Amino acid sequence: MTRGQANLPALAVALVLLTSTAGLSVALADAAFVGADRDPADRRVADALSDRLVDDDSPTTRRANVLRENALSLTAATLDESFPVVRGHAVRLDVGGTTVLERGDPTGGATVRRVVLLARGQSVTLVPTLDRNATTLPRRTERVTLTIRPTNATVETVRANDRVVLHDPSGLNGTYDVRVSRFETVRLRFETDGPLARGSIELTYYPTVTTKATLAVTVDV
Amino acid sequence: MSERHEGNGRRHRGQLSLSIAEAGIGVVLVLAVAMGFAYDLPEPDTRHAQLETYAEDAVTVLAGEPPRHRGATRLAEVARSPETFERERDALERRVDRILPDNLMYRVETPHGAVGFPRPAGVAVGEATVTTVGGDVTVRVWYV
Repeated sequence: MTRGQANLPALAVALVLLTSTAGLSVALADAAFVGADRDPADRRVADALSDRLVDDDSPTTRRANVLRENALSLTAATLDESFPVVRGHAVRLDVGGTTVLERGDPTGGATVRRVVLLARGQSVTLVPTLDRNATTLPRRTERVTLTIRPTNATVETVRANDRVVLHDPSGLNGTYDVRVSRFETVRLRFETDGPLARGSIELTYYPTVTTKATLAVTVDV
Repeated sequence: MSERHEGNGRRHRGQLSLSIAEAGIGVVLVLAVAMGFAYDLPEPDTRHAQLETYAEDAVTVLAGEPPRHRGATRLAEVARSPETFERERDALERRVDRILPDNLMYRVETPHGAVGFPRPAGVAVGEATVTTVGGDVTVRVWYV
């Protein structure tokens, strides 16, 4: 009997202690949930911007994940114009460790990294040595500019890997742009009524040099 | 429990402290749960999303590259036959090694074999697959 009585105040103190602790904890948990980032807008915008930057149809790329040379000279205004998803947000673009564009201070925002190639176009002009009126381009290219000035023969047809790309029965003479596949080595063959003299053909091709880089897009909403 | 102590002259000691001790343990338990909230909620897992992005990008870059000899693309050339795979495996490994960031390990699987590193167990892996005329080519990447 004395045992239960003596314990009564202790029990009351214990209950008060436990109840207040539990109440405090629930308040704490509630505050944590309210403060939690349930709408990661930073990451969403960064993801969307990086996707659009490396997209096949983007003004900054040649093909998917291959950036043009001038893509690195974006200004904040052109970025907003081409990629409205980032309008009004702090943004930073890094290509291979160098910052190419920074607006506002996006420190603390979300960063998305993409593997890209940087394409640099070149043009090489040469007067090819013709072997049986044919020549092979030394490197792969998407297009060829041909200047045909025949002196002693008429060039009727030009074939790239046996595909007719230029044809004129009365003779080709002038400068022509020819699109060829960059997936195969191109052999150009000129069909004439006689052997072509060296110097009748001048061609320019445009090989691409690519270097690898990482594009880091940081956005803070 | 305390009944045993009754009448042996030591009853005051055990009787009072027991409820307080129980309450103390209860408070510790409740606080332990509460601490989980006090030290921030767990961050969303963005590492895995980034790995998936890396794998997708690697596949896109490789799939857009012209073949070294003949074939539709570089990956199609590698996946075409065991001979072309043997011929191209070193070049493919060098290429993948170059285009991926230095903090990543990779494995490229083709129908005729794989290049890269063996995949360790229990790490987050990003994966992307591309279909070529010779079969599927899968790229897996993970952090070093």
